[in-house]
Amino acid sequence: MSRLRQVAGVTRLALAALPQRAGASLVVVLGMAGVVAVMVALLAMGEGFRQTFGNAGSDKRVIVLKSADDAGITSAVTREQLPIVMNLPGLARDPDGKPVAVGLKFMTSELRERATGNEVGVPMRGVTGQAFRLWPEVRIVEGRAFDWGKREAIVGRAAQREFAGLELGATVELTNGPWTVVGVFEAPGTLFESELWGDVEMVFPGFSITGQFSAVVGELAGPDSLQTLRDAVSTNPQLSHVVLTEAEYYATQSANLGQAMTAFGYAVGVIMALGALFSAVNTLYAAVQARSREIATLRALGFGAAPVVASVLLESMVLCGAGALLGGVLAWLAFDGNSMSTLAGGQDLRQIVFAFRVTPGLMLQGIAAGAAVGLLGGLFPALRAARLPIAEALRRA
Amino acid sequence: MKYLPLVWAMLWRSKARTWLTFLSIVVAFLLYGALQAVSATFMLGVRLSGDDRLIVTYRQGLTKLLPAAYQSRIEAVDPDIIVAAPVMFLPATWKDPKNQIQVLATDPETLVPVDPRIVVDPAQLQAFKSRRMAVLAGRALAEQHGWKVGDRLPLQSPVQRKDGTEVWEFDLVGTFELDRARTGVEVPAQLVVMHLDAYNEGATFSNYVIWYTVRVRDPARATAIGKAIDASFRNSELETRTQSEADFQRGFVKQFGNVGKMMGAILAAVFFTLVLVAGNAMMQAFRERVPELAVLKTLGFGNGRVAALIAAESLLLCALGGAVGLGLARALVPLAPAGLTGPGSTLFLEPATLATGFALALGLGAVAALVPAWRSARLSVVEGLVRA
Repeated sequence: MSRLRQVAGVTRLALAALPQRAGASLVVVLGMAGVVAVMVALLAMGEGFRQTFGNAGSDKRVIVLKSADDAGITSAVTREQLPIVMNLPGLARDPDGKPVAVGLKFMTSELRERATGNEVGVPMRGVTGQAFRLWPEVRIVEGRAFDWGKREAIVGRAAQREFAGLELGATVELTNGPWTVVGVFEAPGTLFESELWGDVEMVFPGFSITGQFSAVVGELAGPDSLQTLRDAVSTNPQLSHVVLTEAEYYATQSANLGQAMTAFGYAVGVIMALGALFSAVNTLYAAVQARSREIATLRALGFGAAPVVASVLLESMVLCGAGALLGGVLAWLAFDGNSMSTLAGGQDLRQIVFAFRVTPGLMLQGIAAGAAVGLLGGLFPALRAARLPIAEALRRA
Repeated sequence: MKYLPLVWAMLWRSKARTWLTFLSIVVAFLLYGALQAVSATFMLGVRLSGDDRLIVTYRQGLTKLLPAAYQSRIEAVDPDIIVAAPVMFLPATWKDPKNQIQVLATDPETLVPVDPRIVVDPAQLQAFKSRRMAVLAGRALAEQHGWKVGDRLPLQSPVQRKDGTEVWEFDLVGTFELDRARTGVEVPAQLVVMHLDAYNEGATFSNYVIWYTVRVRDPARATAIGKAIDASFRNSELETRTQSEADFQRGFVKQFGNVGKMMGAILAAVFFTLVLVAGNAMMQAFRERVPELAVLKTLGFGNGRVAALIAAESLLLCALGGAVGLGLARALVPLAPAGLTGPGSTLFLEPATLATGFALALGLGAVAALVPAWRSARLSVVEGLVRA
């Protein structure tokens, strides 16, 4: 108990004297804040990217395509294969008995990105009749749905925000000609919002040379239907396709870039933290030196070495912890929800709009990093403080 | 120069502090080097662009393919056009789906004329031209997979074949590399090159290309020739857009988002912190040493000279830290796994980047020395000695 009281007393003394070393202490706080802000911001980028894909993928929907690792130019379902795939066992049916499945064709068009003025590739998802039943999360919030058989597009909220020329009622020049924007849809936090949607039969003319669909997406009839469907595809001589759940599909699509972003965030964070560590050690050595008279006096009064060590460690952790907290908050204020768009795999150079996500987990990681640097950084200065020769330190005073 | 021993001795007055400051500078410049290497790799395509090369794509970029028949029409546009090379890609894998291979399908006769930096043995080039299923492989790629000239090379590709199989049976007849002297930077050759005719015969979907690379005799006429190419296809079903190779590559990089800006923001945060750290260390060093500086002044050192000594100390520390950090980056960057920034890419650092880094280190030293040098110049002898 008295030990604890000693620790509390010495630490209070140390912290009370902080303003006298304000400059040096501020260096530690700001240094740590910089490290954590950069690390959390980079990790938030990877997190946001993965979530945008993850939110779109459902376990209840399946995607039938030519090859698992490629959904670009080469993936194909021919017009003859489309009804065969849609009527496979395992896919859900609506009350009228029609399969809940959609033939897709993606068309990339060049549009101007507002933030940068760059021409980038924006995807249009050409769909068949059951699209809104299959993806109920896609809700039209302005205007109306497109009419079948017309060059009418509905645009995702994120796409509208990010790319120029997609205002309601506008005519936009896409790859195969002019389209009219008749509606705006939301599907919060998913990659669908980066897209334009329209009638697939209006996408083919003037764009597709082969007239083949990119893939078929359907709803599973029940929890056991995935295997039924897979078996049906593999035993059908007319098909040489693979079946993935939508969740699996988007996880593989986002894996590479998402992992690269996160790995980059950690690598930069670790290197920067090393720099912050050196600066913390430096400052605390100076602090111990400045306090040597005080520490020696305390020791002479009968305070043990442990409370002195603890007080230096606590001072270090308070400084680094405060810096980390500041950095995390800075990253959150500056980046959380910021949207950015990047190239998202596929050979047809599609842009994906996603937002930085500074999650509580990432904030905690940043603060933990700060505390760890504080603990490590305080260790050697604390030991020096404990070993301070009392008589000599007092004499120097 | 005669003061160097003095500066050196001052620097090591507090060993722990000097080491720690030194190490934080080393770390910062290591990070600088690594981030610049990542940026440079993204910009490699731009860097390797020739001002005598143009890229012809569909009017809206890579959103649509162009007919293979455009080759002769492009070459006929202007007598200053040396060659128009068709470019199609066959995405493929070797044995394991993880071994992704990019196969460039082109007209073999155009391969070297369109890019004279490609170095290939004349006999191997001849063998490549004479056999339809022959391929050349980049030397780095061939070494990576242990391919030997003469090997049969079956590659898997999701591109639909007329015969229903997924295997393309190639014969490896030679290797190529990029001339280091002409590219100015070490670029490992990672492509496989095949005949466009073989692609068109094998694939169900054929006779289209992604773009044409056009090489012109006179770079000064490149823009005019580009305009002439686009004019000749105006009002045809597939209109073209002709850009300089550098602009084309730049547009491609921009699709990733602003990589350069992001690296810049990180480095700004790093250097901001570093200025604080180094400046603080110099200030500490100055405060400890007030009496010594006063003694120096008593011995006849002028204000300017004392300030110069302080500044020299800071510059020396930062220069050493910068040099070691950049040296480490130079040693470590090539060890980064290939493919980190995209298929087949490797990180690299250029001498110019290192030079800029060193200049930054000196700048850092100067900024960190600013306040202590000024204070030491204004230090009065009496006041300084009293503190002793």
